[in-house]
Amino acid sequence: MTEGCGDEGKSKCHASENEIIQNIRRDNDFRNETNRIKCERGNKNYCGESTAKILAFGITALIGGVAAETFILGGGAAAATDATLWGLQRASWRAGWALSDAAEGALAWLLNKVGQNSRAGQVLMATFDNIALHNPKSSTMVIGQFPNYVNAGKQNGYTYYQLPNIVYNALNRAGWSQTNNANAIINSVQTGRNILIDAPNYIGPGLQFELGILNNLRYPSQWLNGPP
Amino acid sequence: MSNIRNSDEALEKIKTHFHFLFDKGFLVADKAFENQSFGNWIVVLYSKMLLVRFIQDRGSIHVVVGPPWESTTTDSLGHFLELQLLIDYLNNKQLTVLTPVEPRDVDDQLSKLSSLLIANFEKIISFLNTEDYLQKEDEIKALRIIILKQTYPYIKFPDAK
Repeated sequence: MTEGCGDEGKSKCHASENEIIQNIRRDNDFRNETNRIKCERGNKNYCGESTAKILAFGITALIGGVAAETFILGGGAAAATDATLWGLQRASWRAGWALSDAAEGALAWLLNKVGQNSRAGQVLMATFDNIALHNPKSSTMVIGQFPNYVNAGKQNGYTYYQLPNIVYNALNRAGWSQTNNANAIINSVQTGRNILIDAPNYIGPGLQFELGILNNLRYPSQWLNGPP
Repeated sequence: MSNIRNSDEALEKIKTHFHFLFDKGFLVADKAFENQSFGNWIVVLYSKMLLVRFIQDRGSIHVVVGPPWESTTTDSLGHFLELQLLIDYLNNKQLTVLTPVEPRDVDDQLSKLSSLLIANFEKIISFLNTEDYLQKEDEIKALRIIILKQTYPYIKFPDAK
């Protein structure tokens, strides 16, 4: 695994895009299998897409440990947990950034505590993907420079990826963010989405990493901005 | 490492590191901070000489410059060129198409970009105000595409068969 890669990804830990791709695939397989078993055991939360409920499971599993996870597996409390996360975000905006800093610090501490390879860590990865992925049912995903790709996603209904500031900063502090963005790309590849790249002016380090993955996979992706 | 928390903080940082622009009469045209999008932010400065857009995108800060007649809104897609790319072109160097992975401290990044802009300021103004700017812009973007094709050969451009 690529723990310790930090927010600059492979540059710090020397993991290759291929290693990260393999890790993510393994994680995804694990998550899918876990969810399938939960579904078979009667928890309908895991039988289909349910962002709020997966989110609830992730956060509660992280914070409350086994007891809370068991509670969630039994069903319920999803809305309450969902409200807690978003309530925290809203409260941060209202109360000023001191609270936001504290919330980020707390979340980063918890991320470090559970570790990226743990069961709760993997559920959290899925949770963050669910938060970050917009228009998830589209067959086309757009990535690229900000704000172009977000505008393209909104205007055309394409899938696009963006994390709330509070979560992104916490992920950065814990050194998880690079893998999380890569995870969204691999998920799109696995689901067969078309991938468009909208980057007419610059290509930052995060996008370079994602392009490296797509290029290495030889996945049929396309620049939106053709020659002038 | 401190994170920028809103567009006013971003502007304050820019005023600190790019005070020479304000001394030359540059004004703030627009600014935005996106809580829902990684805390990315944009600040646009304008003058009669050129437009300068500062963009923080997932922790990496970029400066793009454009001619004074371009749109000053934060969502403009227009005729802008990244600072380093343009400077490489003006100095007949290999174009830097991929922004290097640098330390992510906001002050460090802005300080470096400021030095770059100061050192090339007159050249950039002259270039952006030439009558054939659009043709030269096309030329730079075509060169950029050649490098992108070499770097990511399996990612297609719309014109590729």
